[in-house]
Amino acid sequence: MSTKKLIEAADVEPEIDPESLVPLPRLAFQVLLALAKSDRHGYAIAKEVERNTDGRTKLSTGSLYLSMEKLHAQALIEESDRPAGNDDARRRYFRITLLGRRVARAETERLIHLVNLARERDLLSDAGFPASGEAEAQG
Amino acid sequence: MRDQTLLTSLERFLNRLYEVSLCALPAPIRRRWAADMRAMFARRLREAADAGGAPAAVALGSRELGSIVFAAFQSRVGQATGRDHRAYDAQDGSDVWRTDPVPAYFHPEDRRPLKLATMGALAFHFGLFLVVFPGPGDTAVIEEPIVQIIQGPYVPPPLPKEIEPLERVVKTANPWPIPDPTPRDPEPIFAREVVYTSRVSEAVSTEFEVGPPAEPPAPPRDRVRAELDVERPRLLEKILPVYPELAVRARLECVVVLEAIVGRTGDVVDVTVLRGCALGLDESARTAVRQWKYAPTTINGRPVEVIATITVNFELR
Repeated sequence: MSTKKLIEAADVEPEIDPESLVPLPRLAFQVLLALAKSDRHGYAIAKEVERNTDGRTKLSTGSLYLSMEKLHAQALIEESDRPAGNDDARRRYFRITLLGRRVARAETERLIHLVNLARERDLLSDAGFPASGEAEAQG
Repeated sequence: MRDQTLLTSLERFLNRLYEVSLCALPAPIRRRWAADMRAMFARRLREAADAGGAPAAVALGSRELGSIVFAAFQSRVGQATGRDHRAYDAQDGSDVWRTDPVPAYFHPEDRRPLKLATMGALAFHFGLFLVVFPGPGDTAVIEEPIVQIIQGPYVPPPLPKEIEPLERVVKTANPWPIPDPTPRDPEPIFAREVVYTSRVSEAVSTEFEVGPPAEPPAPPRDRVRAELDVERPRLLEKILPVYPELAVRARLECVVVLEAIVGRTGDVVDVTVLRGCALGLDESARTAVRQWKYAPTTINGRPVEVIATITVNFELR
């Protein structure tokens, strides 16, 4: 994203506290994640989300575009120019806005905080969990 | 080849169905996303059909249609409950959502058909109030004829007073033959007070005139019709007809119309049945009328024959 665009985005975006929008809906965060690296069209977003979740999330068009509608209304994503070399006129590309980035970061920090909390409580280590042999013995 | 054609038709059908279902979405969402959603659906449908054939295509189609309905419901509920306090700023035609302190329940484009539908529904239900449905209280009741069954001994009917002078004839003729078909077990009689009488009324008709009407001296006719200007033949002796037993059993009531020719001496010369009845009623009436006796009718001092129309009413009471 060029500096000029960043300035423009900063100009048009209202003063909204990103923290007020977290926690994000699960699907909204996935869409923001999919758009974080590059601009994509709707179908590519769906594919990316499926890939990111190892195919566990099967997006329907209805839920995807409803989620995108909300993100668009909250100015977290916006439509971008079609990249050069793609002449499919039907495809519309979207990118994440600056506010979207901030919100995604806030959401990520929230998740990190949760993960750290879980780690402090030994939820990520083997401590507190029975060994595999004991688990079978108990089972 | 044929399967491929069928699959293509199925795809086309599902695509069309999907397009139609997109109408459920609120107008701004539809306008913004419908093209993308259609394209994405078509592409996924193609993939599913290639991978799993018709069943996979149908499964995907139904899942997607369901998701559209759910999305439409969710977005509209979000608007209607004011969770999304957004209004579409359509005044300047800009494609921008703005935050609105007042809940925008529906987009103006959506509000119009909604208003129409609401008014239509109200009118329909108001109309339902006006429709009078038959309730338990006002159903039509077919009234049964009043029938009271009295089982009892047969009571001979009292004789009507007007025929008392003819008692002698009546007795001999036994005009009310109501035999009990099952004497040991009295038959139910279907009337409150069963009185069988035969009423005979005699009418002299006034409708006819025979012969040239405008001849004052009127050559003496041998036979005249009983008219108004002719003195009505006076009945001297009247014998009531017998109500035939068969007709009583059949409860047949009828009117016999007779034409009687009264001779110069006052005797009934000939009786013709103009309107007859079954079960021997006209025969009975005829036999009775044959025995009637009139006072001789004279015109200009000369006795003439008279044609009288006699109506005999056979009625059961």
